[in-house]
Amino acid sequence: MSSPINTSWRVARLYLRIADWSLIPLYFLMVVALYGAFLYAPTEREMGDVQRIFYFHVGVAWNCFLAFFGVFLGGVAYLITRKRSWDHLAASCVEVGVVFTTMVLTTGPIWAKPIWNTWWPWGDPRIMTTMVLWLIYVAYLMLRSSLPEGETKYKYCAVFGIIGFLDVPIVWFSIRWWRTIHPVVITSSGAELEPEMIHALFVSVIAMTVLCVTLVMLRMAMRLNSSMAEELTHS
Amino acid sequence: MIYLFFGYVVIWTILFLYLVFLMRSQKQVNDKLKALSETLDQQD
Amino acid sequence: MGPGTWNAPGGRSDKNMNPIALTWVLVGKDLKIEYRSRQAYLTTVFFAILILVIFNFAFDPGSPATREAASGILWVALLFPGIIRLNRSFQVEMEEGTLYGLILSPADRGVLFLGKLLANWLFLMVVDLLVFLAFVIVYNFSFSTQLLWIVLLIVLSALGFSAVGTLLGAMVSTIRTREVLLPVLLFPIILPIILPAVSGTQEILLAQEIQSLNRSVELLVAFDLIYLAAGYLLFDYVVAD
Repeated sequence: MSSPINTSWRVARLYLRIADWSLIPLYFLMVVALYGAFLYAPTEREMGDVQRIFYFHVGVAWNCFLAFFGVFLGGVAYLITRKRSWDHLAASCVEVGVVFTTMVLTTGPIWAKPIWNTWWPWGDPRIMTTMVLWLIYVAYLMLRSSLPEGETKYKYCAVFGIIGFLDVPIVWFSIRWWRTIHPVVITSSGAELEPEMIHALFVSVIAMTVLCVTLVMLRMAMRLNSSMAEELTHS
Repeated sequence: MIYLFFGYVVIWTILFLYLVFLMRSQKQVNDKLKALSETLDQQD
Repeated sequence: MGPGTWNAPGGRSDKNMNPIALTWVLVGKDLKIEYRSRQAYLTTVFFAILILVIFNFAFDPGSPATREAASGILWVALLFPGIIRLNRSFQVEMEEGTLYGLILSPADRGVLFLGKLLANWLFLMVVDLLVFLAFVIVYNFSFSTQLLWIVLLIVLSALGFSAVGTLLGAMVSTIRTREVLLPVLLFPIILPIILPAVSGTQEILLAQEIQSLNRSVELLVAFDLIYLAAGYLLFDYVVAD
């Protein structure tokens, strides 16, 4: 078969194979993470059982930024190589990233309300940066959906991905700076972590990371399949 | 806590099975595309 | 070429121009275009002033809480002229097709970016300063030399805003929903401008201790530099077809 289609096919196959191998470990990792969060880790002294959200909240949160790095990487690589598979990477990362970010922003307030009696602690750099990240993800999706398929779309999305990625650290630093001037009474995590908690957290982070990567690979395989199908029907 | 644990394991298992289903069907699509492309090549 | 052509001073072709001269020519072109439509331009100023007045009504005019919030109100009001300015700047290009004329010229894309950016920045600054003037009067602040610091903040934030805005504005200029899409794309990115700007402005207006002003300026300068560089490098991808 023609060479680009053959490459697409092999790459999609590769992703599917990797994802396949990671499925069983993923399942058990997640079960262990659940066990760690609910049964193994002791109840936190001050916050009580609601603190257990934290294991998933943190596990998911770091992946939002990992996915966004994927968007940045895909964007830069696309602009340099003009190979569509980099756009596939960026787009897949955005989709998975926005879901994960939404989860962080939902579990956050659920955790915050019983503890600090507020749904949304303004002024905390991590929360605000995550919110800005969410806004940038959604803006990216809107840009993507308002452009017709083609090189222009991939180029523009790549540019926006790069701009957004540059913005995130700036937001982080500017909020942290602002906080030194307007100190917020709420301390972010007064929890002391006992060793079992650290173990549970560790497993949870790994489980979520594997989940994130698996989902991105699956989405990329789907995109590769669909672009192959397009090419075959057009040839 | 135990109930929560088992509850979430059930939910996760269901989601996981959906993930497996997606993976399998993408593999099928992939195979079919390969077959299709080979058929097209033979016709050329 | 079509209606989008312009003549370099002295009638020379633009092939031999150095980048700086070319940038000035581009800025001059934009200034001329805008001067001819200064009506719309003044309307933008008026619109922002209206927003100030509406906020004045929306919040209790005399209360100290409003004075605390005044700085924030000013900066919200300043966002609108920014967006309007950006939308207009590329709308003109779209209508006349001049952007394609510029692209076909052998000018470096980065220079195009700088030219557009400078024009946008100059206009935005003028509008912003007029709005600020109105703000000082409507919200009963007193004129003092300290206000010049706020002018500096306005100048710096307008630069950052224009840098990102010119890049994104060029990008969405071909999209039908551009007028709504541009704010959606732009506002999350320029959020880091608002914090230092509002903070610094508040301290000056309320004659508080100057804690944050220096850092505000530094942060704005950093933001500006980063996005000037990014815009200069990426503009090529945004206009090439």
